[in-house]
Amino acid sequence: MFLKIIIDSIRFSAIYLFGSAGETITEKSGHLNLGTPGIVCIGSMGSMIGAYFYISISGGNTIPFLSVLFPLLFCVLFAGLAGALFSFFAVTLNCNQNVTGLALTTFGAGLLPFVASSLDGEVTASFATKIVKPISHLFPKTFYESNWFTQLFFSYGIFVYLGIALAIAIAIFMKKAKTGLFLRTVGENPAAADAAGINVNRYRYLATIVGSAISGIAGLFYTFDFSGSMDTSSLSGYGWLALSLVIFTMWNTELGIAGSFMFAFLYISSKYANSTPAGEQLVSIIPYGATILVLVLSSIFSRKLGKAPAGLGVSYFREDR
Amino acid sequence: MANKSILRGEPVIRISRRADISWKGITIVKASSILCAFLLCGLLSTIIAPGSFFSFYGGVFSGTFVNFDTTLATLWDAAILLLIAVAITPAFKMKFWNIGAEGQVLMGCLGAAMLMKFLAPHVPNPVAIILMLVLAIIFGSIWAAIPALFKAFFNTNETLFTLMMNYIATFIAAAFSKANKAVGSTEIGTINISGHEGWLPNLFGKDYILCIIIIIILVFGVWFFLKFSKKGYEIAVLNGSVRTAEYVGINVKWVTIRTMLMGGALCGIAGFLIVSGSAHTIGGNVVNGRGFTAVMISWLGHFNPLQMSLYALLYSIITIGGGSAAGDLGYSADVATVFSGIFFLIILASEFFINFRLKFNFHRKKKEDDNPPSETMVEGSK
Amino acid sequence: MEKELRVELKGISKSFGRVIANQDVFLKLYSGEILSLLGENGSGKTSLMNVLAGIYYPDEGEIFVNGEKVIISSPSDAYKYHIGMVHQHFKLVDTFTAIENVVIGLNKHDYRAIAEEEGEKYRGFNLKQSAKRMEKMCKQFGFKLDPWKKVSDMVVSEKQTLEIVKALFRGVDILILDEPTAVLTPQEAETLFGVMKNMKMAGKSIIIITHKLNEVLEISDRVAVLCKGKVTGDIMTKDANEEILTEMMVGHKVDLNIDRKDIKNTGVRLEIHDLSAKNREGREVLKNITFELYGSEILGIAGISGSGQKELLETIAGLNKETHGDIIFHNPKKEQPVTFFHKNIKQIRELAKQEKFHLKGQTEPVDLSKYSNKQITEMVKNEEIIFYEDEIMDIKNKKPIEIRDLGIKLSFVPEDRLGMGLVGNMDLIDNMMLRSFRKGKGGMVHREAPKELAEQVVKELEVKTPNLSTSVKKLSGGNIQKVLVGREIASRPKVLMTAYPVRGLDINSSYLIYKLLNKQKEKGTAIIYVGEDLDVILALCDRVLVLREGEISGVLRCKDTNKKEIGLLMTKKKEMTEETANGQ
Repeated sequence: MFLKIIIDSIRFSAIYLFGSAGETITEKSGHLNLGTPGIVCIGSMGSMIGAYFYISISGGNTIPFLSVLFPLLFCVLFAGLAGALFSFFAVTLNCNQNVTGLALTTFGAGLLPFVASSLDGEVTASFATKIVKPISHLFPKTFYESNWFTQLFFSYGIFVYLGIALAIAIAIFMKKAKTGLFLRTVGENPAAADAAGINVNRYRYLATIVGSAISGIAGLFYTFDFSGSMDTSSLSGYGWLALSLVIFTMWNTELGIAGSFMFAFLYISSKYANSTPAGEQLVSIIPYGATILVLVLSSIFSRKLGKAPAGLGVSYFREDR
Repeated sequence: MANKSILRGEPVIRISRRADISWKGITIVKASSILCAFLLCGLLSTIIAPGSFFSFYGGVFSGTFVNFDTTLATLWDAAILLLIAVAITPAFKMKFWNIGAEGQVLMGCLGAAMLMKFLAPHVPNPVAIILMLVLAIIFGSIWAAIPALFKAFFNTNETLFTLMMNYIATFIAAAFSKANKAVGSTEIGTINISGHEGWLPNLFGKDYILCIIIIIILVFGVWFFLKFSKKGYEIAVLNGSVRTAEYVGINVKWVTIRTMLMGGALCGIAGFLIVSGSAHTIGGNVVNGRGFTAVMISWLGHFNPLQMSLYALLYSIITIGGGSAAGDLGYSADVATVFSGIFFLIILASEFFINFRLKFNFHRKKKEDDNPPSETMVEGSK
Repeated sequence: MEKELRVELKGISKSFGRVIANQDVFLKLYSGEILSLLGENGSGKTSLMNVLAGIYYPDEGEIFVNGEKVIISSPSDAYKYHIGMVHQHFKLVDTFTAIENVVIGLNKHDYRAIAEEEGEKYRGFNLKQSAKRMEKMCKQFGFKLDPWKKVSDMVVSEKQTLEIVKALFRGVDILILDEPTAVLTPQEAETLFGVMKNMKMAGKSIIIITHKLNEVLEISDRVAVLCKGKVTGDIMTKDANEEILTEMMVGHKVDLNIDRKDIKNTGVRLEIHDLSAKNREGREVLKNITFELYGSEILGIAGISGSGQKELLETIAGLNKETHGDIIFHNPKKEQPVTFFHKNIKQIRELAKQEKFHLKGQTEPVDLSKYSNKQITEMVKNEEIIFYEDEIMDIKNKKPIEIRDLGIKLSFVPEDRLGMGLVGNMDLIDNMMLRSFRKGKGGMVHREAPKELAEQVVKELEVKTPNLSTSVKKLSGGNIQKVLVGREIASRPKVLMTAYPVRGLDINSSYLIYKLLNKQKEKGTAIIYVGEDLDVILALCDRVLVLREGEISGVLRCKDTNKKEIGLLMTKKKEMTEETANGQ
């Protein structure tokens, strides 16, 4: 029972991990993308289209590798496009980031159920065997079901491992790589970055597109791994939690691994715990409450704890005085 | 030639901030963007259901204005949105990014629903309704005051704070609903379905009319407050600059908290109207994202109640009408949210032409070396 | 060493909306020289240099570097031509270390070039290698800076050094320094000048933006003077002196015909004693200021800008929290009846207990305790209760609103008209009530009086505006100033402080302002006039107080002094003229 909760939590945490890792990259460039829930939805939509497309062209004879690749490619493509759309509004058109993000969330959250319901039911019915299976388990069942150890570490789909690897890679990139340093500069002080010869707009575009593409994978994961169904009603809610996870981890994706597990554990255990439905709802508050606590503490002890990127949410126009 | 390769870096389009734009210019930009948004929705519908371009608009119209009841429902939807948008406007005007309207309204809903459930059946209806209103106001303003206090004293980021408060409110409301579930259900369902205790009375035999009237009065009141009261004037000064506010002796912290208290109270009233006037239930979804939509409406309406009411109405038409048109044409009604997303994005993009001016210098490229540089000016608006 | 032409600007123009920052500017820079760009605030020095550094793109004009025409559309373009700028507001990331700030923006080919130059192996992005180079560079030019220190732990002068190192690290040959000494102590400035000379020796060209004449004469080889966006003079420093430069800066000397009336002053109005203050960054900006201000006098305040003028006025107005010393206001109430203007019955009773009042026609102190509130109200209304002496109030560390609540009519025309004195988005009527909107009963604002006032100001000061509901930001600079001054004068102040009230105004508007100030003087107002034009100060003011680096370097009677004497006081240390410090 306890093992099951832990395993499910680790699985579920991938949604938050992808969502928050992508948004961290975006926010490091100074873009507060409130469109993240929408982008997660668009990622999910993209993966559905990819799966649908692959099943259609393969005529039903699918290979596991391509069953993973096609949804992933389409997911990244669509989510990246949504990131480009956000950047176009926030950078090129100099629009308010909050409003742009909210509009994008509205757009994405509407698009997903619409597309999901428009797809041919016969094809989507075959998703479960042809797409969900290869995505949700990387190792053969006979292998991971042998004992508790293999269950705990090897019973997941490829994206759980990918998410953890990505979170670590992003953390190293931000701290060690030259481009990471430049990206942080853009987010901290765009005017300084500009004066130092960094192309602020290009960095913001790229970071937002890449970040959105990664956030979008959260949608793919939910649709084809965790839930394995076309039900999408709660997806944008997870998107908001991913956004709060970014704050909770103080913009550190390596902490996001633990943070996403914590958020996921709270969610999963409240489902398993023999509590009332109302109690379950109250447990769901904890992640948000904890995020607020981190937010408040970081503003009070800003010198010690570090802060949000100083240029977060501020659009930059060079000739402004 | 070395010279040429260097000159390649010359920008062809340059963007510069506009000093000001005439009232006429704004109207043209806005009107064409609204037109553009509606056209795009029609085109999208045509792509989904070929040949449906005109029947789409027919569907939109029939879904919203064909009879008095649907018109009333559309107006009610627009009115409640407008009220929430107006409630957050004072905070926006002083550059306080309150995107927590969703939660503040929801807490208002909760306050009203609690009394509706437990008190209303035992007291006369007017007493119950007044007490519900009071508790809704208290809940809403407490929810708004918390982030304001932290902003004033610790400069905590209010955008993220208010955002988180929304979800806490959502789960509290959902928990209340589940803790008081109706027989044979997991949720509370319609409260006082038989006796209608704590429900706002019908006016002329129709729902919504009383609510719409109340909202119109409130919106007018806020407009009046912002324009003619001393406290509203202080907000306008803060909109100018904090330095000016200090120069004239305005206590910036206190004004921040006070304004948020007021906004929260108005959100509370909106919550009360939703619960008592329309939904008669409570749950995490009862506000249905209106708090977020209102943020966009307030911003795009330039904090002007008249413009905001236009956008609120257009939004309601495009979502309600779009949904019903989709039903008529036989595709998913979820498309309504897509339409509203397109609507907001297009209007938002049009802001660019109001704030910025484009300069093209096409013929710089081919000009002779010794010619003086010259530029053509092109107005940004289409 | 033969000097080669490094940079040439030809016909540069740049405007922001309706504001023209630069108009048809021509400028040359030679190798191995230090060029001063001299001009008053708002004369377009910084925006011209921002054009050269790639921050602004010019509307018109051409830039030549080493004889070739170039397009500089971004700061990285500027670096390509070895042009770097140290901005007045540093462009540093606080959370990064020094070396991280230095290397941001450097690319592969930059590192390759650096490695080549140093004769080392190319190792790409490598902080340790970069830090080594930075330390070497510091040694060469005489900086002291730890590469691994965080910017947030640095003091201002270190940050500035870092900015210069950042530029030099990129192999900049043309370095622009924007008001580098504004944030430095004199000692730090000397160090900076030493570094600049070292750089000059190394063949680099430096442009220093400043408005301080002494610096120009000390450090530069050549001076270009900007006035109202245009170059008005270009002169070798060895041929220049302060007078010549001043004339270039403010344009040709005009015959000022300001009618100064000699009125007997009406007693001390404001008494400043040993006042010191710090600015927001914690730097001491005012030191031991002591002076008195009298009714019916205009006290000019002269000094090179940034000498504490703005801070002095803001401190008196109650906008600065970090202050020491006394600011004492003498409310001219001697033999005047008490009124209900900011005094209620309780306060009047309290003052009566302290024997501050007598009844009209009597000399004995009046005992109000035997009267009822109603009777007192009646007596006040009939102006029967009379003050013996002026009211004396300490307003140090009081907020603007507390000062007003004491009944002190203190008006302040700040330097930043739209950022502080007025709200640009509001119309004329609303701006008129900015300081008085709390007046009147109830929670509503009363727009009748402000409207009348706006009408009056528009009519009397000849404000050119389409109507009263036009946003003030749409008016021209002169008209904006008229609105501001008009409002401040309308409250019939006892003390009126004005900071650069005629800056950016044409000659007619300027005269109008002078006339208004003189009228106030006749009414008994004590006026402080902070100005930059010494001719105006000499003609308009009764006394002039000269500030230098936050200290008073002299107080002179305008009738008995001249520009030269003031100019010397502006730049030289304290030479107090004791007898004039106490006024007439």
